[in-house]
Amino acid sequence: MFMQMAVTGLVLGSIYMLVASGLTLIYGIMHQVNMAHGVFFMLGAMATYYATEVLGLPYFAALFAVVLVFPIIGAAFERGIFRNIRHIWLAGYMATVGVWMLMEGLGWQVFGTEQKAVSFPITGLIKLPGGAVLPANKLWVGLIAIAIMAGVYLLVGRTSLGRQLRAVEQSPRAAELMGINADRAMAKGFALGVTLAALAGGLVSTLYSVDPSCGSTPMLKAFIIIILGGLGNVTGSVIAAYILGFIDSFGGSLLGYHAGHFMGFGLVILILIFKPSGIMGDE
Amino acid sequence: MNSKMAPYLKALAVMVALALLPPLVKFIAPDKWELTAHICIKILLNVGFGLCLWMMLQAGELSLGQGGFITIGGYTTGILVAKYNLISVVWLGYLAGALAAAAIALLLGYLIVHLKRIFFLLVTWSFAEMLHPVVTSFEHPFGGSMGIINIPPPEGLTIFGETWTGYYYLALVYGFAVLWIVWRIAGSKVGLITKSIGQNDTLVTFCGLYVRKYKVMIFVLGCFITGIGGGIMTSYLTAISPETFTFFTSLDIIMFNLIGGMGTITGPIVGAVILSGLNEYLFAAGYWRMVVYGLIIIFFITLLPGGMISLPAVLRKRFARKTKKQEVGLG
Repeated sequence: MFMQMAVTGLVLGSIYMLVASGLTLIYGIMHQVNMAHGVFFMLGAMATYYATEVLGLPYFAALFAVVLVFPIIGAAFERGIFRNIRHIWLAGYMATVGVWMLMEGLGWQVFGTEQKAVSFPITGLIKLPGGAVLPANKLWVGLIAIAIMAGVYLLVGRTSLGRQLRAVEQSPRAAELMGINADRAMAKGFALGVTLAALAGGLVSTLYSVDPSCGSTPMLKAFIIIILGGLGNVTGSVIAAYILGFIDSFGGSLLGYHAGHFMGFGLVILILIFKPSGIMGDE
Repeated sequence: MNSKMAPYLKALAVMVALALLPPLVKFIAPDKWELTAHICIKILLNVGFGLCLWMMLQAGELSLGQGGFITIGGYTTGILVAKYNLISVVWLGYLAGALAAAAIALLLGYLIVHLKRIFFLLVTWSFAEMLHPVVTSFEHPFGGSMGIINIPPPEGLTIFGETWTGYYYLALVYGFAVLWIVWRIAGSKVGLITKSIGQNDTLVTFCGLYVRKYKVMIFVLGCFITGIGGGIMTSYLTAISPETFTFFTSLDIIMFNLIGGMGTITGPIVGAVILSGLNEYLFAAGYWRMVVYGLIIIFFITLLPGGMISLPAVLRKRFARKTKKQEVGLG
């Protein structure tokens, strides 16, 4: 039972990690709290559903299509709405709320209210040491999420694009003096964060059925995580994602759903009051 | 003297006009009165909530937890008056609700007053979200997911005839009382200090003023008034459940300020009237409501950041530029 809950917590944490790292990247680079993150999660799940179940593409081809399409969507939103109002924090925040409402409302109109599910190519049960039994798709989804995260670390840490993003995160003005186009770097950062959310949506659609409001809960969890990890701190949010995964898995099964919810937000308030820079912050 | 009194007299004239509305509507179209009263009650209470948030906004911090304080006020009133009958006078129930909201605001405000901007917003939001599992989990005293029902109207409300007419006058008094209080505070020394804190709090500290005291004071006062409104709203709806006041209630209150404009005290009033009216109208529209909401937010953020109250100035500017161009063209 303990092993079962631990493995479930790890899988949950891996998915949370994808959503939250996108959110924290966007905050770190653009200083924008993206309330529309859940919408991109939902759009990713819906895109995967339509690509696999309606167009008949293989599952992994659908995920690849998500990687190709969502950076463009993200960059378009950044260019169209968020870029002009980025310097006013309240306007930036409310604009993302507006995009969230608009897209979710349109989602209900376009995708309908019925629950949708995507089937994962690998099925069966996997027995793990310690007596835990896990559906194969859950385990694979967790592993894919970890692989994607490793890719993000390589992208941000080792490539020229990553160096640009990190430079803009430290100081947009200094980055511009070094010849980096800060506006374009921010668009790229936003596109990257949005793509991570969409990929997480594509992965989750194989585990749970999805509808146009399915992004709200992951987004709430992601907010808890990025505050615990410190806003803008990717490594902090990775650690916090697993902490919240365990809280949800253990607290959820032992104390009930509401207790897990309460503990998550209680933790947020305590962290914000006593250590606003998060568990990995310097001060 | 005369120019100082003029805005107050204007507000008084609007209030008298609104007080004469019930007999007028009843005379012209008696069957429309219940619906009209319902919409007006919502609008007037929302004006109060919007003004409270505007007062806090002057100090530079935005609270996304006002729905939580409405919930606290409403639940306290409901628990004391309807569920356990601890208080027999509903008016005292309203007061208790307001005191509970103010006490919690004092505690929370004391703890989070050092946070700024997005951190303040996130912590107030988390606080409001935390209330939801609490009231849902406990059958006693919160009534679980069913909430509390059969909350009675306050005593003496039936002297105007139907309950909704009584509630109309109650909401009218509430809305204008909040307007008067917020207006007086905005013009007082405390209000001026709050406004300067919103503009530059370091400078205010250098002037020898204790910034945190004023910030907590405004926050507690705003939540106290919001708590009264929560009690009135709850007893008007006769019931409260965890789903009555949600994240979207808090968001609406911010949107009153956004749509109306945050520059002057007229802004939240205009915003509350427009958005609450629209809300009642869009209630039947289902998911299109979210689409309309999203479009409204994006429109105001990108094209009219000063809100509705800046519209005349913006139009005048446009118009003036056009005439100038024409003159140049003619010359």
